[in-house]
Amino acid sequence: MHGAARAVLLLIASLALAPAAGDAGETLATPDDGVEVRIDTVLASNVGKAFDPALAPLKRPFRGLFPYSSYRLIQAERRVMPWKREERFLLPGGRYLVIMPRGVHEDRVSLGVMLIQGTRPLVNTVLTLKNRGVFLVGGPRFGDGVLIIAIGARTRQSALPLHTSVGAP
Amino acid sequence: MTCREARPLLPLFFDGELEARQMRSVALHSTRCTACEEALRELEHLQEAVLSHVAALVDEVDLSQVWAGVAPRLASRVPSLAARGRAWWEEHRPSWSMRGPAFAAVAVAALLTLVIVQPTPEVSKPLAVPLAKIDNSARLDSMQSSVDSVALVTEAETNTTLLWIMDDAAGAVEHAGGDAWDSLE
Repeated sequence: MHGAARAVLLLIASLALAPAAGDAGETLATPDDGVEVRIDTVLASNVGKAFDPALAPLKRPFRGLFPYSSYRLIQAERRVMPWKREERFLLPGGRYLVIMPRGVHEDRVSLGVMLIQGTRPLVNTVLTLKNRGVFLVGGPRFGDGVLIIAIGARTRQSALPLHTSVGAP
Repeated sequence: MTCREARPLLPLFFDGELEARQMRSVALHSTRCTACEEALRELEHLQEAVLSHVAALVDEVDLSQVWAGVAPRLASRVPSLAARGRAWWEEHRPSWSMRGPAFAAVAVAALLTLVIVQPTPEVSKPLAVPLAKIDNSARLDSMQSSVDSVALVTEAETNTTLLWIMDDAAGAVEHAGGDAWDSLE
């Protein structure tokens, strides 16, 4: 890793973390039956014009967020995870995610997420997303395009599918 | 995690063979420890050297005559069409006795009778419950990043949040999202 890059350990507390300040002391519940975590990896590029039908639920946010002409689901993994335990999800290009479900509070699931490329951690974050919701991480290059990683979570009591999960619910 | 703890784990970390908790700990340690980072870099160099050496050796191997030697042997082993047909029949030959078809015919007749006698179902009504509005609202409670800059963008219609990583080490990423894409750096 470049020393300079390493020195730029960004703490985004002043911006992104501001809303979390009031919730710092919130008590997270950890239902016995764990949480279902889904990692969908999409290759977005400007090579061709194709929108993978499996990504239909993500069409709206993708259209609003990205300028690419082609979106292809290249990997999808779903696991039921216990709370407070880290698990690794392999991603294309020698990358992987380390996910730790932290708990649920007011229908929001808290996840620890670390994205590692090779031996280098790119981001290490704690995020809270709506139960059955999806959070996107994008930017790592792969092939002719970039990877967009959709991280979804839902508690096991939830009967509804992930809002924008792809494939079978 | 200390250097002493991390050192023996570095080769396993490099090969991605640690369990997730250790993987995370070593990764975090390596961002703070110059010595371990250097050790990882040496492993990378070693791997590159081995790969390039092996690739060079493979390139030197003359494989041009391999297929010429294999193809005639394959041709001599391909069975005739008739032999393949017999083999298929032996494999798929039905094992039931003559009572089987008779039983099947009775079952189909009974099924048809049931279907005919059944009252016609009502035309199914459309689902009264509308599809739930997508709400992907999320927040970042904490974040550290070693990349050059990151951007946080939210799509208004579905409240979908995107964390975009712009890393010069991996090459700049072109985008056309306007002001919303301004880095949070």
